[in-house]
Amino acid sequence: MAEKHYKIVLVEDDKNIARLIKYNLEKSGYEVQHAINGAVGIELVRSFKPDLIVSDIMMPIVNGHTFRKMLLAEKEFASIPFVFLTAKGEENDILEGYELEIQEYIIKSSSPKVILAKIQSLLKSNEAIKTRGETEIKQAAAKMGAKVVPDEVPIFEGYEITQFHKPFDDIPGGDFLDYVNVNDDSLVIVVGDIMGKKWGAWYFAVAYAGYVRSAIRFALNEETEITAKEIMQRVNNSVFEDERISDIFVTLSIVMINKKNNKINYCGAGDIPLLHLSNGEVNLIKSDGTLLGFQKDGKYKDIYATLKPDDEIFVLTDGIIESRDTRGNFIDTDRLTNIIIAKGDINSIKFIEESVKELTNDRFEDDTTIISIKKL
Amino acid sequence: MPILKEEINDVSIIIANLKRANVTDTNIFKETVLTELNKGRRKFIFNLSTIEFIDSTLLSAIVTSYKRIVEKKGQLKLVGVNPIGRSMFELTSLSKIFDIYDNEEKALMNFN
Repeated sequence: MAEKHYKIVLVEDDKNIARLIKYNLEKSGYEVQHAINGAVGIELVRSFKPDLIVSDIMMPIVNGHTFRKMLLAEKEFASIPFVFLTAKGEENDILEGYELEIQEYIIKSSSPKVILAKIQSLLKSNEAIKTRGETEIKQAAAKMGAKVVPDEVPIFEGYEITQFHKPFDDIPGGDFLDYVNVNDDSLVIVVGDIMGKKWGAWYFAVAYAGYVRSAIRFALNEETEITAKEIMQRVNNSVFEDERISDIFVTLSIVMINKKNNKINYCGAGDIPLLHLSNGEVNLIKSDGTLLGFQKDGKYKDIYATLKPDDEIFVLTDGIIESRDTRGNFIDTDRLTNIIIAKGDINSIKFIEESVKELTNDRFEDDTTIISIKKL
Repeated sequence: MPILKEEINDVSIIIANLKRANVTDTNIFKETVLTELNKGRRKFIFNLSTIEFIDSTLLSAIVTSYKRIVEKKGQLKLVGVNPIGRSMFELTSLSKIFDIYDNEEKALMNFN
């Protein structure tokens, strides 16, 4: 069986051969989709997003060579491992194939076991290269101190704070969160989501996390009472005026908890509303602010709520509510609300994490972050 | 083609002919809008009827394009946003910024 769930596009005009190869690959745990020529193949690659492409050469309409050239012309597809599986076994044919930057050339007369072994080996070595590259970047990022999600939650007297964060495909991405002590009584919790995924978004998440921190520090130095709205407006001003990130949009939730009066002060920018669990019911706390960097005046507002003992506030990005269950239905806000209500005395974050993992078969479609702030 | 373009009088209609857009598609989408803007066109409809799910990559392309259109004093209407997309626009307050119509005919009638 294949160790990881790989997707393969098979391009082959002979339906009988295609059926046989598809059968053998599927039997080994691969998910395979078939196209009858390169023209259909390129559309299939676009929609199916495979981990590997296996293609014949001699095919009507768009042959294997042309198909390969079409893939090389598109940056996103050029790096998908590509294999020619063909009856053309002369030396010149093989050399011509390798000139098209392919990873493997397999002659059709090879036994199904050999074909399978070559494909498995190719996917494994590709995965090893990818993992090595990611590990190096992750190590470099850690050395730079460029963490966008803290490993531990702060201890804040009278409250229990728990977090769940899972980057998409386990690669640091666009979600970032931060905890900043404003003074002895107040803690600011910041949850942001850069539009985009993986490393591209992560780079900006590092920059944004820095913007938010410096906005908070700047305000603290002024020794005036700071509110969530003021922090948001300062961050928005910086972002709006920074041309380098003018095309990058971010949702941001800023929640300030005051343990003296047990009030939370919240301001949101295009974010998912907070969920407030109180007496077994969940209410949405919605903010009307627009995405950061979108307008000079984001029309941000300060919103206040008071927490009673056992009340819980959830701050989240869209990862959970935009995940789909095994039937393809979204875990929307209503379903998340029902999960929260059903948790009973169990730790909310643990219960949500396990419930969503079960519903989605542990397949998240975006970075996922949720924080619970519980008044003890 | 994943991104199509039609013209009805002075309105450019950009059609995302996809179920879900990837990074390449969204780049083509943004470039198509930019090309139209550079040609001097200022009225736009984005038709998203075939899109099953507006993820953050596509949303970012829509928002970026909107910003560029507004900078040039243009107008943008969205059509064909499915219920999931609409609730996402509501949830993130983007519904206050974007004009969303059920179909192209209604959108065409509402340009200044």
